[in-house]
Amino acid sequence: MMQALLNGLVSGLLIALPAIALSLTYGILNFANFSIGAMITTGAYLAYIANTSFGAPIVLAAPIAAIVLALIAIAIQRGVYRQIRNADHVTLLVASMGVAFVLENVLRFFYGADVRTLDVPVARPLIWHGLRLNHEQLQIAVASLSAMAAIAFLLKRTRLGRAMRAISDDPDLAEVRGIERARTVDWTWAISGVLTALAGVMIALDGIVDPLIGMNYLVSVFAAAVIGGLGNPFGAVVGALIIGLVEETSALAVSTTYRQGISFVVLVLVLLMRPQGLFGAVRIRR
Amino acid sequence: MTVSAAALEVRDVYAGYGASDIIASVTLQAAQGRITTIAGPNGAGKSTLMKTLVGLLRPRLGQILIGGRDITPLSPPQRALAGLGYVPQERNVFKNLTIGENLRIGFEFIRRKSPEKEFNAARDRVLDLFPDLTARLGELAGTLSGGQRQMLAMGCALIPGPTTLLLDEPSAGLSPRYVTTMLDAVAAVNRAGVTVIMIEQNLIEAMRVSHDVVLLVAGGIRGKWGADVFLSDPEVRSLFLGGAKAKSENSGQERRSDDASAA
Amino acid sequence: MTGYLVAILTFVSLAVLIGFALNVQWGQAGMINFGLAGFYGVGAYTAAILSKQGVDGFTATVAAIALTAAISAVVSLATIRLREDYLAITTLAFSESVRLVLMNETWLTGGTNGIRDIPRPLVGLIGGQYYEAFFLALCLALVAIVYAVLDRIIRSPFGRAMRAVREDDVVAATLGKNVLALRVKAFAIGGAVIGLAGALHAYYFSYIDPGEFAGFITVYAFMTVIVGGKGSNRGLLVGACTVMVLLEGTRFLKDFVPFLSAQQAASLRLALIGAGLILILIYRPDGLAREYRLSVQNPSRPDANS
Ligand SMILES: Nc1ncnc2c1ncn2[C@@H]1O[C@H](COP(=O)(O)OP(=O)(O)O)[C@@H](O)[C@H]1O
Ligand SMILES: [Mg+2]
Repeated sequence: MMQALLNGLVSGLLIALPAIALSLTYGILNFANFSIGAMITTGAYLAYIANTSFGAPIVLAAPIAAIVLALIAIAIQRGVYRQIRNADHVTLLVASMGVAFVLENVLRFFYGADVRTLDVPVARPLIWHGLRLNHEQLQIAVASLSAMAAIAFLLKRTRLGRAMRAISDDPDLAEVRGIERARTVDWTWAISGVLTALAGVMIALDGIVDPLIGMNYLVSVFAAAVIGGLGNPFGAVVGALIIGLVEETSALAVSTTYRQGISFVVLVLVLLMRPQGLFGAVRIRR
Repeated sequence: MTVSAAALEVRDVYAGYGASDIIASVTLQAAQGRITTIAGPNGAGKSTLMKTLVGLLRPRLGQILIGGRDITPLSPPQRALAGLGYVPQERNVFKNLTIGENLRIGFEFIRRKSPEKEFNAARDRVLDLFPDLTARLGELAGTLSGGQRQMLAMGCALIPGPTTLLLDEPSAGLSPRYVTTMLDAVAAVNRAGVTVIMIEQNLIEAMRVSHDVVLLVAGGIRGKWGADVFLSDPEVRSLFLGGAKAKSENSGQERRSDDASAA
Repeated sequence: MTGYLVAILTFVSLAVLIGFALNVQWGQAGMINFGLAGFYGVGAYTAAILSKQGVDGFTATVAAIALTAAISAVVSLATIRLREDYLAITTLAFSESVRLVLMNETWLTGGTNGIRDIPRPLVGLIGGQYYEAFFLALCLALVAIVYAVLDRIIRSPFGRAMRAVREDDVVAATLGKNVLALRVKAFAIGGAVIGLAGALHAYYFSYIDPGEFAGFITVYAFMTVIVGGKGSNRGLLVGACTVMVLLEGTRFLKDFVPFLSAQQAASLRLALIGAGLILILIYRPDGLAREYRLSVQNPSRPDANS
């Protein structure tokens, strides 16, 4: 049981990164980015390429993947979402599904459906009072906590972070106060790219690289973001921890293949009981 | 009438939200260093005009100039950088940010290069004007009362030091004491050299501080008056029939003469 | 060649049926369904499993329709007060869950092996030789019937109320419309049509497996509807044909580019479909057909997005 809680915590930390990314883009662009799963996958493949094709060690491959995915995300923003004039959030949603489809199949085109693994040294797990924490889990925890601290600092203490929160709060007022929306949006996508790439790398570290790894986390990530109140990045972290814990502890009773099914059930329960999420302000349809 | 350069000029502007124009063929000039009030019934298009001035709406036709420079192609942030300050009628503060953060945001994107100590000085000036805010800098703006929120919004527009200030009903929803405080603040800002264009429904109080009045009815400009004569004009009186008549008489002595305040 | 044409036309009919469903849910009621593949799978598997148990084709199809409609209603209930994003997320999560069940509950669904030898309705009566043609005729007839029924619904007071809800549900509510019931009904009607299409899919191929009910079905459906002009059932014909031509046309890709493996050609096709969807959203958001539109453009700033 304790082991399940520990695993759940680590898994939650992993889900938290894309959940934060989802919340940031939702808050600022006002649409749910359905390509987040494909972005995670892309991040994992970018690290794989840097790692195996160019021989970069993982501490180098991860930041390379993050930067490249950030640039890709900006390119997609400029090439796709920004080009859709007068778009309501539903049109953007559909467009993001198209983006996911393109990303996923481009990866398939070059790398097929084969299962791949990163080239990393194997290390012995840490054992403490009977609890196992393997090396990958430790890396996940450290990387995720550092990334979260950096995001918190960015949002609370920097000009860019205030611009992002201001746009999320009221885009018109933000513009009137001198905030360049387009530039802030680009930065938001870049951050989203970095976070999803890190998540992709960590999933790859802990297991394999294949075209579906991101898709397999999509439901969990969305459930986490909804529990935290879509658009609220701090809530998303709590939502992710809840999802991670529920998924891992439920594995004691239900087959692990139903991990996403569990998230779906949690998602529906939250929507029925507290549709605004545990923290978010209600975003009623209008 | 004092002859002075137009700080802000609107030339034959048409604008609206969808297919049809809400305001049509609007032409007006707001004189440098004065307070111009835009009056008109509800739904006349006053807020729409102001949104067009700050760039939140693009005019379908026409031009907007500040100090002779055509700003029509500029985006709202670019217009803010050009010295235009704006307090919207509603949703005028970032509710999920603290009061201190609201003030900082008001400053930092317009005065990008200014050092921290200039911000501190500007913030102190705003807090002198609205001391109620001082004790609450760390609280979320969403927790403020209507009056305090209005003051914060005004403070955020003032803090970067705009040359022209656009106020959409600064006294709306305020208790009488706050209405006076707010309009006194507007007058003080104006005395410091800022050109003010404001929309007001509290006409009696507004006339106390205004110099010029423009009347907007059904999306069109109906004329321009000195603030001292506006409420006694028969056309205006028939438009604002009812309480306005009686009130306009007892507020007459409070009105400043046009010339005395033009300094 | 005739056989190929018959097959293509059958696919087009199925695509049109799915398009009808999405047009009711999204085009008319404004409700997004990203889990379309899952609902389609529910319809197909219901029909297949019942038929394997000896239930006759008609009854099994009715059951597939009823079950898909009922599940649609329940899923839409979960997000009833929220913005479309939530419905999109929930339906997608539902679809993923359906896929998990299809893959893992082997006792019921055959797992990844799928279900083979699904009995085709009336095959004894028609005979194998003409069955394909008969099935096409059946599909076309069903398309016509569904079109007529939906057309009546769209023109009825219920249809108008549905569009009112789509444009502004606050206004619709103040006009005394029961927004909640309307949305659930609209989603269930769409679900029923998806269930029908799923059942036909199972019968036509007489073999189904979980891989057929993945996200690409949903992408095709959205593409069909968007190409045809959202909300227009007549435009759908254009949409379904365009998508089919694209799909079938790109199938020959590997003949022209010999160094591509079959797997690569398939990925490239799908990537091109995704890109096509994006390009249409950018350049032809009202569809290629540009039918009459019932809705007015939402007023907003011309430079509202960045
Ligand atoms: N965002 C909007 N979208 C569509 N119409 C609007 C919007 N805002 C205002 N209107 C319409 O424009 C007209 C003028 O509104 P407004 O400029 O707010 O008037 P005023 O400020 O003079 O009371 C009204 O008929 C109003 O319904
Ligand atoms: Mg107004």
